[in-house]
Amino acid sequence: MPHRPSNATALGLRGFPVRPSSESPSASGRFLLGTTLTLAGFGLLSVYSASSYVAQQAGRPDTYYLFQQASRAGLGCFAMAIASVVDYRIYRRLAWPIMGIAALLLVPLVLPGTEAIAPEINGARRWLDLGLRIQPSELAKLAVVIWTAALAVKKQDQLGDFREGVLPFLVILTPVCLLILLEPHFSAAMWVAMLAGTVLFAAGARLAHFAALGSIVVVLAVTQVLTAQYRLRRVLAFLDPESAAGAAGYQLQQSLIAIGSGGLTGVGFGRSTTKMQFLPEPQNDFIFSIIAEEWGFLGVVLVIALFAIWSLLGFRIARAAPDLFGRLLATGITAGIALGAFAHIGIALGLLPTTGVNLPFVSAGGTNLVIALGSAGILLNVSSAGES
Amino acid sequence: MKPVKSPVSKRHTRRCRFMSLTVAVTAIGMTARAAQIQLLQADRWRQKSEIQTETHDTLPAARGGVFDRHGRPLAVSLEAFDAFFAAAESDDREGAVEQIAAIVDLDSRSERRLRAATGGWTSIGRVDGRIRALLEETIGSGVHFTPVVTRAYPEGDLARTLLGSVNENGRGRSGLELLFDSLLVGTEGRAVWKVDARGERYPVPEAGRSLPRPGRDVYLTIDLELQAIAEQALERALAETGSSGGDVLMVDPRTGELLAVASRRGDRNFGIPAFTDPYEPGSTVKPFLIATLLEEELATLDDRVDVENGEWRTAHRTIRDVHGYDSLSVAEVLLHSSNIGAAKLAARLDRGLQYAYLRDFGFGTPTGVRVPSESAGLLRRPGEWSAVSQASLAFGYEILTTSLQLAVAYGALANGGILMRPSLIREVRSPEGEATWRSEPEAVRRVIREDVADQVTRVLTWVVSEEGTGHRAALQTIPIAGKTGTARIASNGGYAERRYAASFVGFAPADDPKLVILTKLEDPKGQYYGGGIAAPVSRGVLQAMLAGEDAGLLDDTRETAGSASFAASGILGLNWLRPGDSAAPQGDHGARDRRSPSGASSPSVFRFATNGGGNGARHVPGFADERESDDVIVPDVVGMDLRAAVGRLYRVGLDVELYGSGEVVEQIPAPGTKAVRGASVILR
Repeated sequence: MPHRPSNATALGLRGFPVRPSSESPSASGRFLLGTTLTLAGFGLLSVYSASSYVAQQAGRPDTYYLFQQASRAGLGCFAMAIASVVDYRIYRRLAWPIMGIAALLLVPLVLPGTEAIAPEINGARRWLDLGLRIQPSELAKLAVVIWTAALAVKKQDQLGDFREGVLPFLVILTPVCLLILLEPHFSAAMWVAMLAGTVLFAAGARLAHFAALGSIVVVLAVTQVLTAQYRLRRVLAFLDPESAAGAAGYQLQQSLIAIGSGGLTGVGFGRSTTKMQFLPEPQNDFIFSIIAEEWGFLGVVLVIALFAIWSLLGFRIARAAPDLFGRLLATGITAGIALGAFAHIGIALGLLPTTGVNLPFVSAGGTNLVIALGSAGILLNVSSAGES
Repeated sequence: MKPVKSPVSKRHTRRCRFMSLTVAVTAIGMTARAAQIQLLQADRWRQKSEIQTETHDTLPAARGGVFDRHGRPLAVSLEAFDAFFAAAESDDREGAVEQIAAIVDLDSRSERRLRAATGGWTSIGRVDGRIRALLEETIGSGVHFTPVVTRAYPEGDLARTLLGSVNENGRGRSGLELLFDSLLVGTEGRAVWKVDARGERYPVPEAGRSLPRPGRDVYLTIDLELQAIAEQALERALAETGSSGGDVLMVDPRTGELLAVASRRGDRNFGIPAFTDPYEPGSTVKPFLIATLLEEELATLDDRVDVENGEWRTAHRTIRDVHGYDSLSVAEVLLHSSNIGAAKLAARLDRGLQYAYLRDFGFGTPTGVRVPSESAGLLRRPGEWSAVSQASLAFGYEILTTSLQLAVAYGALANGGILMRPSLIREVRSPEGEATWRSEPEAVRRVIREDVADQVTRVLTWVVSEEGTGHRAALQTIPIAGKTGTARIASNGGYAERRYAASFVGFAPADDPKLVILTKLEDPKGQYYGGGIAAPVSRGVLQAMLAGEDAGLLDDTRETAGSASFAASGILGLNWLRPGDSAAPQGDHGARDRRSPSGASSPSVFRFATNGGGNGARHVPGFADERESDDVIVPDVVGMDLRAAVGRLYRVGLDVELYGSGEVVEQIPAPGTKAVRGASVILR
């Protein structure tokens, strides 16, 4: 992997704080890299299988999504390579600009008159089309982690105090969450809040504050759920999937059919039937269901194990980081991936209400994949710093 | 750089461990949940998956064929398709409809509907395989076909009363189609498809697809030629005598096999009256009385009976004969069909004996021909008889018999005294052509000694002579034995005025009987004596057979329908009914082709060769009636041997009236004359 300075130089990164060559990633880092690449490779395979039918139905070649995903994975690996050699401490200095850019990208999604670059798709404006289609909320997740970690380091001594230590975070995070909520993208807003909370938790914020804020968030969330018909339906569908009417109940039902009919060893690669228009976005929101159908329980155990290993390695890297920012950054990034993976799997298994969540490294989806791989690169950089 | 060991870091390490633990617990929990779904509930979800992703088509199975004793098809199954046009799938809707109209013979209504169609499937109609291929080739997208099996009767109306018909589901509705339905019906196949959420279908090569299995083929004992002769003779007789109904049956007395069954009652189009409608037979039962007396040695043929000059008053009633005589021998009682003689002879019998013999000849019990609605007729027990019953039974009243029972009982006389169980099925074959059931001649019982049977036969041969009532059944060429009967028709508890059932039952050749022919005409207008109108019908039948027979009359009706003897030259080996027709399908009975299905993608897994198809076969390839050209040229038969001449004339579809024997010296009309098919040619 291009974690050596010569490579970085070759890539034109002169001037960036590149780590010395002696500081190669730790054992944890190497395992993390291996796990990441395994997941990404398995993802390519799964995306191909899950999407070939949908692609052909849309009059495209069966490999359409495979090649699209492969090019994004290439981009993601490039991002990972760069991130792994860029000293993570630079993010601490760039925390405010990063947060600013992320917040700015969210703004067109809620402004009227910007439909040209922020089109409404399926009743929500979640994508920004700037030649390259990106999902700003995905970017916001990483930005929030970086920014919260940076601010927590700065305020590490005041974290016990609500006004001095917690309120400043809320002042910035609340508008960001609101912007995402207005797209509307309820789950992403929750996500951002949870990531920030995780970083603060790792930084040592008081549990009483979490309890207080948590209950406020719960009240807000319940209000949100009750005021939006589709969210309410999803929750009801989650509570009673057998009898739930509408799209959410149907999706969950299809997901369970896919997973259940996989049995122990699966129906075999490429032989899923629920991908034949039964599951929506089979290569994306429900790719785990397709994997479970085609590879069976064995495949499920493998995927869950890979993510568990990845997360444990991430937390290990966090603990071994040389400074608090590195620890918090690594914790946040790891939490982001783990949250994504287990939310996706939990939704597929009917343990969480249905909402569109990508399976990191695996699901088709450009922004998510590039950012996930880039985040892994940051972790690798933290791990090589911690090793020395 | 050394790790910072600040309190914050320590707390961070603790909280990181907590999060690691959370991840581990979550992972284990989700694995457990997956195990629950995938290992414990797998069957349930798999079932749901199958329900939504698998669909199947029923593949219609060909109904088994019905064949005559020589393997000539009487009823066959043909593959056809219901064609539909899906307007929404067509790029050029109007052009497609134009092309459909050019290929398929559309009526104006369906054409209008097709032109107006914008979505869904619009019916084009029923087409055969050739039209299907043509439509698929020229139109391509937008036409759909669902396979159906249709029934066709290659011989047209021939034997149709007997064969019956099928309903719209291809199941038997009447006749033999209904009777043998469980044999003929095939086992439907199943084609499995994967279907996506939008209903699009994909064939699944490895799925449990089962091929349809055609039904079994039934080979009848019926002989196509004899059936044709019998039907033609019956039709003509009905027309000539004005009878409301009638039967012509042909039975092989040696085996009990039914060779021809022509049976009609007015316009009734169900059932086989010859099997199901019993009647009082009249004089045709007299031979059984004589046989009983001879068997029991209570009389000889030469015993004299006082027949009272044609009118005999008894304590209960007066019995009359048509012609009065002073006295008659027992043989003459039959010859002149004397009721008085029969009544007096019956008095010599113990009631029980008279009953037992009639019973033994099969009266009052079903013959066991395996037709469910077969009537047992009626023969009351002696205990129920009145003072006149013995006399009545002697000349055929107070007894009800079906034509079948009567013909079978005569079979016992012709067969040296052994009653055979009649049969209608010769063989049942699996779709692969193996015989799964074969009828064996089954003797019911010996009723009389062979010498008694011979004596009765001799008298019956005398009956069919210049001297007897049956003389109009006589032929120059072969001796015929038989008996006439003229019975009044019972109705409303009495006997109707001037309503009679005229019958003649005979067998030939009398010296070596191979065929029993029963003719019964019901309610004729004008002349009504069995000897006058029924006997000539039997003669006509025999003449027709004679004509078709090259190797001598009735040489061998025992020929098996085994695979080696499928050739159409049966006992009578004639094609004279259809001079223009090609030879009857041989061996593989052309219309059916049981090749195993080809083409895994095609839902239709069986194919038949389209029959004929020459006449631009539209819709179901019917068997176009090509044999109907009404006029024929009378051939020159002068100088020919009589038998050859008759054969020649019958072959072109002409009837024959014979005067004299030997060589033909004169024919009317003259050779080369145009004659209507079926007209008579007089030969001298």
